Amino acid sequence: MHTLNLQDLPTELLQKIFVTNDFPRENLISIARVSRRFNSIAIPAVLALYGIRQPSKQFKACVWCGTAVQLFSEGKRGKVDVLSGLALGFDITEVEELDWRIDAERSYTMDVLFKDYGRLLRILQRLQRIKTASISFEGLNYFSAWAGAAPIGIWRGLMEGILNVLVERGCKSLVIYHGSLVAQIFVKTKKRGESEGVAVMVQRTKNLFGVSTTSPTLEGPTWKMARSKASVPMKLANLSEAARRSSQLQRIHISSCMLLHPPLSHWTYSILATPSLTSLTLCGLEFTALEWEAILSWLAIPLKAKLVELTIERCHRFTTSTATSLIEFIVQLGSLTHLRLGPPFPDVSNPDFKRTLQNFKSKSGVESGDNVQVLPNLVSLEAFSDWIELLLSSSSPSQTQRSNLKSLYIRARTVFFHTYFNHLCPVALPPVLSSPVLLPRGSGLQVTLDLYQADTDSGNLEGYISQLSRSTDMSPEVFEGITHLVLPSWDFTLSLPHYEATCRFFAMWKGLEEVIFAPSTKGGTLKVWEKGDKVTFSAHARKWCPNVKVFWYNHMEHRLTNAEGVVEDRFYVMNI
Amino acid sequence: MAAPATQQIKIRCNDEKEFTVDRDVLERSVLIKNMLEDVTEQQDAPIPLPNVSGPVMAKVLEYCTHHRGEPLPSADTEQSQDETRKRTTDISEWDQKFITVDQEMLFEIILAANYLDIKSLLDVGCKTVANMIKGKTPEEIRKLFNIVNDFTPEEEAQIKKENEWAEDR
Repeated sequence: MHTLNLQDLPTELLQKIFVTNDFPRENLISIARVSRRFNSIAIPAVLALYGIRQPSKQFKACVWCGTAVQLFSEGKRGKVDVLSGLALGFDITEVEELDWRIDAERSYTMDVLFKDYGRLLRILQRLQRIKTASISFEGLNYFSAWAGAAPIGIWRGLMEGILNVLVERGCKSLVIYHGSLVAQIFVKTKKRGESEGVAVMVQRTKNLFGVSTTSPTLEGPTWKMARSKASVPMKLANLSEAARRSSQLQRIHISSCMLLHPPLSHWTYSILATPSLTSLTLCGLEFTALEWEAILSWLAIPLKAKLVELTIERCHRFTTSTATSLIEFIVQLGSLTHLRLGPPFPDVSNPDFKRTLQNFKSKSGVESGDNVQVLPNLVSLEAFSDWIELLLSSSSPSQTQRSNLKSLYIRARTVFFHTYFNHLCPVALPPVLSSPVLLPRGSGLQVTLDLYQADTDSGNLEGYISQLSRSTDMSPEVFEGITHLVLPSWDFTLSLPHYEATCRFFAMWKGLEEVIFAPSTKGGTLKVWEKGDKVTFSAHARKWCPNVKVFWYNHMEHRLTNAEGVVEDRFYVMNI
Repeated sequence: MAAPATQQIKIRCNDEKEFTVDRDVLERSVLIKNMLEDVTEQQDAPIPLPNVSGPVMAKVLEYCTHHRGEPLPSADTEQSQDETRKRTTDISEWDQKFITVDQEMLFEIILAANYLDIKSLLDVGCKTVANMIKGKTPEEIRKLFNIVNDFTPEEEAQIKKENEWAEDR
């Protein structure tokens, strides 16, 4: 007679045994390896634990790698401790600020990455509450592009799992970006043996995950195909409806283009429709016109949409038509008070754009005729000077004075000209500065002039400033009204004697409150002030321009520090 | 009208073995309880239980007799039941002794508890199996339960490969 065996139990009972008892997840993975039947029962159970709803063959790998993933974080000791504590089994349930990034010192391969993300996901699931999070999805784009469809599926499982857990744990602020470290690995590999290197990596991917893909190439045909076939979803939401409704997410910063592309775009669109969302940053993204329309329409979905802050920066597909639809969107939304438009930005002199804007203005401009404020609720505006001019000039002087505008951040494209005659013509300052109509004096308006992105190929800014201070054809009034100045920091570290002249120049600048030096790359190396130079310069500043506070932008922490290294708890978004 | 506590019920197992048991003991089984509620008149014919054998039923009755009089878990307490069930170690001493049987009997008890719908007994059985599996490698699990490894050599090689890098802690 046949002896009754564990295998003879019906599936429902095996599920009961495997799922409802508090197995360590590693144990479920052991079960998954016992036999095919056990695998088919244990894998969905593990996937459910990971918050992955649609199990497919491709997810096996991320389950198996769940046995050993390593945790690390760079330069964030306190935060690391929380996470390692968790990993060690301490009873930690809440995390204030989760910062998870790639360790530049570590040598990365794909398996290491997968292990790390798997570990992160498991740790997040043990937490009950996460207030803010910053996650780097390193390498996703490169692997998915080069290794075919398999990693896309696995990545999707991991990324979606991680993102969903964060939203479900009440995360209020979410920053998502991706690094370039893995790209470097690939580039190195590629250099060694041309495309052969890539082929080796692809083969490794296949070996690791046991997925057969059809001859992926450097161009990533699968990836491109997936993208061209993808339609922009208007209904599908990968985040559960309940999770989305109860989401407390207020701020989301998307700086990884993968979030706008399949397979993750569905998640992104659904999160954009979160009613609690007040601040959105899109940075370094590429999107098609269709994808852009989708972003705007998903943003407008919540009935009481209260998006107040919008930042668009380094989005290279941002064209005249997308800019037009953005303005249309802002006017319809009505709630937006903070708008930040970074480079690159479409040329406002484009006649098409001007026409569209005029059409739009006349369409929406009730009886008051021409003087319709395009952005009536705006409190703070950051953009290139020509854009500011365009947006502000659409309101009459009286309206400007009555407007809510409190802060203006002007990015100058080109400020100083250098001619071969060793002569300086500082006439190219943004015209907006010299227009008292657009920029009323003494109105308490905080005006920041950002010369960081100005055309500085021509050389030594310090020299310019010292000459500028002696220049007679330069009316000091032009600078009046500017309260904050952002300067790139190259060359300053090199020539100490000019410190005094620079500080005297700042002193001449009536109304100037703060100067911020931002590290810049020139000739490929990042120029950062030495501590000693900062102290010396600050001493000069205290003597020659006592009313001006001097800060340095810390590009690692995105914060301002003074010469003593004291951190100011605010930061400017810079294009470094 | 409620039956007197001393009411005796007859049951017949699939090997023709019959038991005469106090009604409240049998009512630990939701299946039998429902059957008894459906029958209004006194019946002399034994209740047939075609899925349970005599030796297993004896074991089940031993459990039911020990736990007679305890409140039955209702649908409302499902949540808290889940909470307590999570801790695999919390099997009471008596239950532990009771469930210390050979594997075949253990699985028979689980199947019977599932069929008869005796939630607490099913939990004890499942927890016991879970405890047996806990901390074991796939090979140990196979050996313990005499399970044939039916992965193909390719799959096996694949899994081995996964192992190699997964175990790099």
